[in-house]
Amino acid sequence: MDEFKLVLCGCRGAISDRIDINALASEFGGTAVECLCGEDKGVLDGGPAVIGACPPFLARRLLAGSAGTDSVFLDLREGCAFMYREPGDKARELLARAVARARAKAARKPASSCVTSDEVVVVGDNPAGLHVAGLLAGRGKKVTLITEAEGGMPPEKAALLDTAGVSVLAGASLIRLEGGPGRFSLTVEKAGEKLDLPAGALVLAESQNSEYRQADHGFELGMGIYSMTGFSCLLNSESTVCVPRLRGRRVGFMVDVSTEHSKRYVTQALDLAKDVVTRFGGEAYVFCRDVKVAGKGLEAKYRQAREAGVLVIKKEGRAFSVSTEEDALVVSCHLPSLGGQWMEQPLHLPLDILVVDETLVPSKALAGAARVLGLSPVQPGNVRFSGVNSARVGIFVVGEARADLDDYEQALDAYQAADEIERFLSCVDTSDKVAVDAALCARCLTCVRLCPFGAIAIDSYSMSDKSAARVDGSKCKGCGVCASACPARAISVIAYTDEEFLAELASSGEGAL
Amino acid sequence: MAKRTVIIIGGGIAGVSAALSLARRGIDVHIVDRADYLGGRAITYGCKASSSCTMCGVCLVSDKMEELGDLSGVAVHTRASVTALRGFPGDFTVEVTQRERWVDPDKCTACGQCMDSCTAGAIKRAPASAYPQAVVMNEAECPADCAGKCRTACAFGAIQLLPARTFTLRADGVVVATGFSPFDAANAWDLGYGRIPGVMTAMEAEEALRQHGTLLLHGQAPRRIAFVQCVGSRNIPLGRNYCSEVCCKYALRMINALRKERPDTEFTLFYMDIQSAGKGFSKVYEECKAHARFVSGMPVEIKKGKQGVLVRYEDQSSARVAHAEFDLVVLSTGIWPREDAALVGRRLGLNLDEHGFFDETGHFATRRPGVVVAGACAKPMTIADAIAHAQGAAMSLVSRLEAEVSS
Repeated sequence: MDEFKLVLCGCRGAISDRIDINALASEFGGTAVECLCGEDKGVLDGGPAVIGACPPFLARRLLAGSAGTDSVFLDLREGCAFMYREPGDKARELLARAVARARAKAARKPASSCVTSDEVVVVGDNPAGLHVAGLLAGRGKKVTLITEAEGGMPPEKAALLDTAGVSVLAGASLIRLEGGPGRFSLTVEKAGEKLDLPAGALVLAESQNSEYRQADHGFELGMGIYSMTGFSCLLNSESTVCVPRLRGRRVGFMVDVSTEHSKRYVTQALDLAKDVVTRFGGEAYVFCRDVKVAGKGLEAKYRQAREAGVLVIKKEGRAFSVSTEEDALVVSCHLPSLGGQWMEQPLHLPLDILVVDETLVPSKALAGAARVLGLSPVQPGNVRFSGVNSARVGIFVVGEARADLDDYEQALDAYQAADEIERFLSCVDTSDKVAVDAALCARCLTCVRLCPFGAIAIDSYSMSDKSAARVDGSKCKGCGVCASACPARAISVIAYTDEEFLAELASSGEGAL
Repeated sequence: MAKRTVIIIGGGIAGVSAALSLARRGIDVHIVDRADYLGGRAITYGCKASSSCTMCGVCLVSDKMEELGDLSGVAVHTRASVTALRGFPGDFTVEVTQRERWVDPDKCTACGQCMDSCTAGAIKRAPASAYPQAVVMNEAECPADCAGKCRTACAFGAIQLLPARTFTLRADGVVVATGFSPFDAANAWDLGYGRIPGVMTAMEAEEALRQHGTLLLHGQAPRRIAFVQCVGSRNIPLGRNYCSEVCCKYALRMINALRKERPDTEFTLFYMDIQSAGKGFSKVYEECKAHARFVSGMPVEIKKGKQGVLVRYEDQSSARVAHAEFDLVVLSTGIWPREDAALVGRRLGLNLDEHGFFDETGHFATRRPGVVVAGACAKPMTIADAIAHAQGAAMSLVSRLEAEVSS
């Protein structure tokens, strides 16, 4: 047993009182010690070992530095606890499997590789993207920011990046992404010229657009009906024509129609409604499903709006209808209770102006960039991609590019992304998770179809070209579905090869195979 | 450049996330926590997956705690609090007061020999995600006359009295991550908490979910469950002019998770406004809508019913007072500032905002240079947000400390 050490720890009685570890150790040609985390630690010399001890999460911690990184830890304490009646049987079985696996593993030297990089490409210029670019540049990273808009960046944005030391590539469109985490190569086209940008990590920071969807509301804009964006422009314009037109008007805001799950439009409606009352002396009504107050200062905003005189009417699942009567818009519905009064009469509210909500749709630039980066334009929900991490290793998504976020949340995104990226770039693991044997691969497409992460592609089917299935390192999670399904047995998971698996299985007693 | 040191006050999910970010940059980190182990409140929550993941973020906590265990360069001071902070960025002196400890966490391997020996059951395992994984001795339950059976049983000499002490640490920066207190439902007398069996807080429900995967009442699964939202939130008389941001999320997720266990359970939710904004949450809400009854309006009174708990509420569809009986009522208690936030603020020289959370001037920064806030001590937030916030706090602290050296 030269390729690895076998050590069994007695845990000062916690294990050795229940299992005869001396007998087990001699059976497998290993060593039994009283306590590995004490003076016996010297038994380990930093090389690979099979260690039977307390639960691995404890043992790893206690033996950090003494045991080799690719050691196999075996839980003798908890794993065997329920085998008191026949002590040792379960331990023996576990040991046999671990030893078989370690032996198969030792036959192959895994190559661990770690590269560093300080190049980051930010695609898009949403607020979180600008922020993260500045933060990373401030931390000494070489940051390039790409926008599709031809010189379209407002001067204040450009100035922000300039002082931070970010180089900006405006009017460039993405062509393709190659390479893997830590060594991406992004090809972009600017003024008919192709450029290759190296990148250790990428940030997707394109925006979403707020758009009015007629299908949701059932009527056209115009004739006193404004979209949220349109009315906001009108209200905030300095125009001498608009202001008198708004004075003393009755304005209704119809929200939670296009989307019920956004803070954005309810908040915006409350802001605008308060303006209508306080600045223009008008009347304002907000019709909504739920007032969204989950955010810093939003509850106070809601209260202030009501105190200013805005009337918030909740829809509670009732149907509101909008009609035109004698040149006035009328919102009507059956409201059972209003201000604590039982109202038999239906609500019949004539309005001068009706403002309707919109919905967020990925901008063309976002959809295009997401396609090139191999992400979906709407980021899927996965708790493991908490915050700014995307489904692809080395690609991060911030701000509106990933979700409908308020200003506070967008700033959090920028900081979290900066932290994640800095940590990621300090050591990028570029080792492959699965290996494809090109000589065996029949390019049958089984793996391409089955890979849950879309990580496998076949580049060529030509008979002269012997290219095999290619696994994208930034998408592969090492799940092994491809390896188990490959009819030609051309794919194997490097961390747990077929040889290891079969060796382990073979040791599990008669008839297992 | 001399090695930098940062003190983190509070070892909940925010403090631990900040520690990971700092330690990975080669900074020496000290975490000071008042409890027996790190992990804070988040490690007491249960996974709320229904037929699929509902993204509650609870599993992120155990990931972070495990990461902490694998990392060197983090010193942990449990059962301790920071009693004074003097100095300025780059040269803080932090006074730490540590209570007496009965278990030496450096020696304990959580083997459980002492637990077997203790007839009074005064020794317990720390929760699965806690760090360090040492046993916890409850002094109040420890019988004085057993001649120290646990001490003899421990093969590692880990059970011994480590006396209370006060010591000072030098630090370049400080992260305040003291977390929150859930609203004390005993103050919600009219909602029956503590008076009527069958009324529990969401914190207790979380704990039950983590330990048993479901909610039980007298050993039986309740058939009719009501959730009451906004308990201690959005309440001007209580001085809470804010939304706690997490209660709608956990309540709806809990309904989906419980329903998966027992599909015949009837769920009712009393609410003001459902806060359904948030990535991936609309799916949870839509699923919940399909099988739970949503009642707009808060209960007027909760009292003992014939069999279960009687809830009196305003039925808005008829504008009349209605009654309904439930087996179990869960109060969705909100996030309040820590009860000792004012004291901690005075000790550290921080301002409190109008609600009593630590005032964040800009992001993460406080009135005192070199001191940043992280997590729910700054505002109510979810687990995922607390992690992001803590990463940001660590990031901005590092940038500030490095900028000081170069200038």
